[in-house]
Amino acid sequence: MPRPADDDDGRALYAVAAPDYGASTTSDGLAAPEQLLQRAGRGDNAAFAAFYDQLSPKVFGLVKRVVRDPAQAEEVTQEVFVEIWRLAGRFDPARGSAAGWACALAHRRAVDRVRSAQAATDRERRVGAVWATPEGDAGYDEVTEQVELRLEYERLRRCLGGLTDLQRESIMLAYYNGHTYREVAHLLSTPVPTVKTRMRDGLIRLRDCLGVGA
Amino acid sequence: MTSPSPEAHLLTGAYVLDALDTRDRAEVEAHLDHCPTCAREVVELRAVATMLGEAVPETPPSSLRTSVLHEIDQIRQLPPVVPVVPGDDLRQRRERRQLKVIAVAAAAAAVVALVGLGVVGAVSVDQRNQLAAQRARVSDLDAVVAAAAASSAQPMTGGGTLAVIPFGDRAYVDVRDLPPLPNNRVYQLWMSTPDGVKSAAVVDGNAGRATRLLQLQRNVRSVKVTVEPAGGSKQPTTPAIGTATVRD
Repeated sequence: MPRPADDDDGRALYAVAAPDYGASTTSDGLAAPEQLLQRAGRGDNAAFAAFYDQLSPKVFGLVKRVVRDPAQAEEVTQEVFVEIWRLAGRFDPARGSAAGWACALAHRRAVDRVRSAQAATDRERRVGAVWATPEGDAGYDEVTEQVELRLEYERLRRCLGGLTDLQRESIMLAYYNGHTYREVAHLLSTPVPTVKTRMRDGLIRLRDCLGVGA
Repeated sequence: MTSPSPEAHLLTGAYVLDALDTRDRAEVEAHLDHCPTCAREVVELRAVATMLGEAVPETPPSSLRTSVLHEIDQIRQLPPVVPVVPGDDLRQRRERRQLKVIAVAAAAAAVVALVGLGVVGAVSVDQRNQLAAQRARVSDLDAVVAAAAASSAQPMTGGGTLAVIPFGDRAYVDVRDLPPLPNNRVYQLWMSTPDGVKSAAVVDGNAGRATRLLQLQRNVRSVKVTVEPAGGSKQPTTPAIGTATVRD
């Protein structure tokens, strides 16, 4: 028989190479999210509520950036936190930070949501083919749209500034707009293999600039 | 995908950005299992993606907190994945002990073979070897089936994926990453024929993943998935969230 249900749940989503969790509280005296998540994994609702309070701005902000519609962003954010609750017992701090785990889950959920909405729209469009609008440069505007990063993300902004335009746009369109690399290639009128490569070498350059994960 | 694949390796960037479609994603994940270098790169690049993800925070409305905390009260948590340490597993220890007993028995049996008592022990060792070989084969086949299902998976409305692999008069169905449903809702699988729709299975709303082997009648055209009230319905009461064609 196939592998048991749930066996790959969440495991692929660990984000950050193990940081040091020697300290059990953050600098501002709050319990570390990793600790809260582990307690939540033992059924501790209060720990989960505290975890929600710490991480919901990050999760909601990211989800909303991808799906855009505030009502849908709330729905997806709720799904993400319920999923975190379900999987909390499987969180392993040795394999990454709780924030990284939550962001990876949130991003994947948000992307799944925009893609299945897109698939539904495409189906409707095929059914009502007479109403179809010509395919083509739809979405070109989003290329020029800037993601506004707040002051504390100055370093990230600087590192993004150190990428080539193609690297940066490939990464931004994929991550913040939820496009596949094939869609990004189309939007940027660039061959698919080039976009694939630019995503990877752009992220590698960011990694080195930010000094993370190594 | 046991051999190094430069193609999959180049996709690590797109992978951590979730810029792959379902099929590419499954291929990369299969590749990562066999390529520690790629897996390490994914961890590092994922850390970069996390920083992008954390950089656009926005406080959600306070009503969301209430709904989330209310909902988790009704959601069962999944048990931890308990690692199996080789040699530290009761069943393995028991099996090894049995093997030893059998080996001793076989040796003893060989000694007394002349009296015609040796057959039982000797056959047991043989059977045990066969069983081990069969187990290894089943585990290989599981991996093949899981990979095949992953590569033919298609996203469903609202989340999760559906994969149907027809073979002969049966079909293997794999629904995974199913978003949890409220307690009074379940997922239901259907077999669709030109004459109507027939229930194939009901899947718990919190199962997350389910696999089923369906016996297909000759006129089944597709497998569909809907969300239904607890206990399932005689006929679908909501639009399908996923459909996979079995034959045209």
